[in-house]
Amino acid sequence: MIAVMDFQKKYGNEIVLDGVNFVLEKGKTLCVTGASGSGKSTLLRLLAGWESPDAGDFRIAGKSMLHIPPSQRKVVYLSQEPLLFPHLSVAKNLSYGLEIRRLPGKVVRERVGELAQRLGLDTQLHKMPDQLSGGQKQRVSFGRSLIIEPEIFLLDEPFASLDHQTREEMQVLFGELRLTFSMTTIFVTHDIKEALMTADQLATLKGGKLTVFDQVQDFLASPESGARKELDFWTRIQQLQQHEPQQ
Amino acid sequence: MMQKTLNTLIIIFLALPLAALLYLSAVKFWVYPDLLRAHFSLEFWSGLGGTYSGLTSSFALSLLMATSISLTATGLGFFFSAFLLLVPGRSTWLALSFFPYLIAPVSFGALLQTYFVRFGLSGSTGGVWIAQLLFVVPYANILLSTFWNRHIRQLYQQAITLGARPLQALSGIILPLAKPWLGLSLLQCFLISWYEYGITRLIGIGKVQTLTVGVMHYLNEANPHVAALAAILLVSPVVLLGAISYIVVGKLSLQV
Repeated sequence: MIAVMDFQKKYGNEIVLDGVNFVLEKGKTLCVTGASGSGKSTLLRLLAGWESPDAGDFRIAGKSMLHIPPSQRKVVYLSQEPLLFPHLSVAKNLSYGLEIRRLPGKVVRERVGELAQRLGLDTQLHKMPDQLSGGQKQRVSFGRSLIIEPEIFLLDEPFASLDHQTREEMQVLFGELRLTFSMTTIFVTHDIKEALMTADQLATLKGGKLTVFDQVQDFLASPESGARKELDFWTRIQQLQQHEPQQ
Repeated sequence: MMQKTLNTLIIIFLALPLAALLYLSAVKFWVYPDLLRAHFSLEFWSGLGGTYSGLTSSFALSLLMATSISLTATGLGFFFSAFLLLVPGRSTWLALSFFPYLIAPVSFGALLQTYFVRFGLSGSTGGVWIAQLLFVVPYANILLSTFWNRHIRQLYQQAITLGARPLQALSGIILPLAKPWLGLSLLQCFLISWYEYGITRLIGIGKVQTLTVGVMHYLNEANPHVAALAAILLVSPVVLLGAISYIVVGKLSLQV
């Protein structure tokens, strides 16, 4: 279980996070929605350890992470850019986390092979990142993180730069992976549909405050989440289609 | 065909002065009215071990100085430019790095001279080394700043997030990506130090005889044969480095 307690962060006079609290069970996904600049990415950066909060605590299984360096937190941050290492092949990108832990070559090869097959990358292992499509790059990025079995995945709009079809494929793949690997994930997105598809828990960040919704209905009904507006929009589209004269 | 002819012309254009220098260093007398000096002799070349051993020691000193300055400046420039990515006011620091190049090297040397005299560094090899380094490090910083950007920083953080220690991320991810920049910086810093004249003259006050200073000495003596020999020594590592960097940097850029 992870717990974030009273996280606060200010840049100059601007309050970005103002007492953020939440608890997330192991293997669950919390989706955080919110407008651009609402502090979603800042929250993830604090959890990853790239920045320190001004106040508050962050615990994994009861242990405070604040003084643990990012490399030892077992918290993986994935952004919308896949950030593959451009000078390493797909196989080497996938095995990077294992090789720096000096695991035996045989174990590394086996685990890379197994994961590559699961991600549909088994025929791409020899390729360099610039030879892959956007979706394939994200698969490698996911695989590279999954292979080290982190405690938490921090996903910062990971599918935002993908085309519509690839994005849907990746959402489905993520759904499968999170169940298979029992991933504990904090998923930041401004896409309400994506949030509804992927989340166990939903939350909205606005004005530095995080509102966590216990029920999906509460999320949908909340004016803060923006879901109401999106639902209204689709309802109107549906109504327009129903009233369209048949040709 | 046109491109091939152009390449050949460029090669001839670059090689011709070298050939002329080589010829001048390997002939002895000139009998009027002969057009060419036809008395071939290796006297000047063999003099490198005796009569002109000063050139040999100047060559060794320049080689040692330029190599050590190139390595030190590139190392310092790499870490300084990386540090600038993390601190506010990056553009101010970068603008300051241009200062030695906005004023002439001689003026830069003149600015430093007072301090070097005060600290007893004037006229010493160590003093010239430090003065050249102060001139070259800002260049390395400017050059290597073009490598560091948000994307490189994110790749570094990605490696750390996957469990790499900072040194592992540096050696496994950052340095391989920076190889073309480091190669270019090593070459350019070497060249700046190798050909440096103004600061060396001012801080070295004639006591530190680098090869560039030596060439000027023989030119002033109006000895074209020894001056040609010194000039060949002066350009030889540069031609060699140019060829190596052309091959190595070219290959590395293709890999990255």
